[in-house]
Amino acid sequence: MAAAAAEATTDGGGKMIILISADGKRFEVTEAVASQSQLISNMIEDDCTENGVRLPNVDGDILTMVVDYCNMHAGDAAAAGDTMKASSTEEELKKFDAELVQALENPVLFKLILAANFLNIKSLLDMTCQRVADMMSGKTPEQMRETFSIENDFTPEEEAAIRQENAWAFDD
Amino acid sequence: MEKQDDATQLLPDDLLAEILGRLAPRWLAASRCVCKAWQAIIDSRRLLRADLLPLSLGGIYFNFHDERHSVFFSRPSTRPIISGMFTDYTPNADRVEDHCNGLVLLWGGVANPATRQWAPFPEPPPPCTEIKGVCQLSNYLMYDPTISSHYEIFQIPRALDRYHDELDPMDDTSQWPPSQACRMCFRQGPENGKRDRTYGRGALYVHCEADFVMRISLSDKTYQVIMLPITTEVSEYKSHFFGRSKNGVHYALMDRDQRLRIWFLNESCGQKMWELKHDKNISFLLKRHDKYGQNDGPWTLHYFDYCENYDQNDIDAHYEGYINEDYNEEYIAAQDCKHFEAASYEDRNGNSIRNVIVPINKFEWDSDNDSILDIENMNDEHRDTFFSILGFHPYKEVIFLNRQMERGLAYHFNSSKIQYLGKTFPECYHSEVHEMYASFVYTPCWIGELSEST
Repeated sequence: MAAAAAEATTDGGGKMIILISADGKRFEVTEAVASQSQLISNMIEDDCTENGVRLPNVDGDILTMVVDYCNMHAGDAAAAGDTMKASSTEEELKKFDAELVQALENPVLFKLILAANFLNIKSLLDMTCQRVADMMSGKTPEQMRETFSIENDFTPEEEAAIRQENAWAFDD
Repeated sequence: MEKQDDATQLLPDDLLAEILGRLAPRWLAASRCVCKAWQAIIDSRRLLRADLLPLSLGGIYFNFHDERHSVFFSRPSTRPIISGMFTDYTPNADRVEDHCNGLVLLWGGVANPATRQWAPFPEPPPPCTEIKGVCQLSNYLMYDPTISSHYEIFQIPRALDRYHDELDPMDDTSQWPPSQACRMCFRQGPENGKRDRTYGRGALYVHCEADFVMRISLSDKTYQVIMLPITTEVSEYKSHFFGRSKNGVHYALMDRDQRLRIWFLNESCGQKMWELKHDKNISFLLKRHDKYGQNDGPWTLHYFDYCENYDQNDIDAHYEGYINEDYNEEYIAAQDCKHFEAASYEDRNGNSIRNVIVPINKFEWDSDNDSILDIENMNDEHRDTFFSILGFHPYKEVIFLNRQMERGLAYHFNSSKIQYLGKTFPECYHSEVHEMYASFVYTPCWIGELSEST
């Protein structure tokens, strides 16, 4: 978190905002970084970020990832006019994004989705939801249950009937 | 102890729906079987639209020699009418070269007749110098909307006769890497002459004349050679067809004496085995056939009628097209540009499409249906009549036959029942001039924009 906060200052410019996680951890970020969250962006507009922004449904470890992500992507909007810069970092961003979600345990990934949803960071929500969808793709129902530790609450008869409704999807 | 960490329960339904909504139809159908909660989300929000997928039969496209336009043999349907013609939304590309799951490959692009969408080809990669001048390239379309909205076009070289001996069918070194640039995938396969093809289980199957089938796997871009179940002597009196029917790949061979054999390629257990599913003489079909031969069947023939008077506003005649009083051969030979333009112009009149007559008979295997025949007590043989094979029904054990090149039949090869479908030869065509050389069984795909006509 310290690293994240330090990184934030290197972006320079703009007012700093303090984000406070559910477990009381504090993150100092620039307005530019924080306003990728539509929620915080609205708060900035309404001038209610003076005493720090409390995020009671986001844990510190999740917020660390969110802040990392926002720091990394803060250049996006800023560099929109500067195409050279934007294209040179595009590869890095993709790599960063992939690494961010790739290694996550399921509960952490889902908490990240919740945080992205709560903070209303569309690109992060897109990316994390897509990650889960990618984990489902190509799997059988059994494999999906296994992947996400989901209990099968169908009776065998019910499941057979549901499969039959879309038999085309199970013909291989 | 169960549900120990079912992390998905952390998510509200809206977010789960957001995730599930990103899945391709096939995986969405699988996820619907995972648990009741997921099923409820998918069903209540109608995330899975199986009704848009190419899971039903729409008809059969025919190509005739010396014709620039494919003919569409349309199955009656309660869905919006599908025009078999492409004149009003494609740049005059009217002959179907291939079909896969609702998309048709035309000269210069890909069209979806159900949604009336058209996409021109990207520039193809340059042909490999190794085969330049030796082969012609044939295009094959691969599309599976249950898995992806992308389609692929394969170009498979076809050896010209004089070079045929130079290509070694088993030579793997003659492959070259697929081009990433425009999703054209290249793979050299040794083949020659007319081919049937089919698609299934993530692989393209191309029937090569030399008694084998090439199976091209999409996932690892490799190919495998599968021998046909029988060595076919090439003969104009025989008709054979390779394609996908219920449960998988089938191969049918019709002998001159109307013996129809159908094999199924069993690909379970990691092996590929041909199983003979049908071996019968079907000349019994001929006798009763004449009884209703005078009538139209339930299917309709849509074709571009060169002989028609284009002054009328009604497009129906393009489809029904039974006007041939003014017919003369020069008219067809000329294929006057003015007539193409006139037709294109009139076809843009969207309203008229609704007026197409749809026969009310349903094509179903229903014992109440008069036109389904029982094979008992029909032993007469008509050895001078011939059947050709139009294709397989992709989802039923049905093979489509063409009797004497003019009458379409659906033959249920498991129960040996037959149904007369309708005329397959446009009345303004000349049997001496117009010979059918290709047919494509079409399954409409409604994914994408739906036209408003109801």
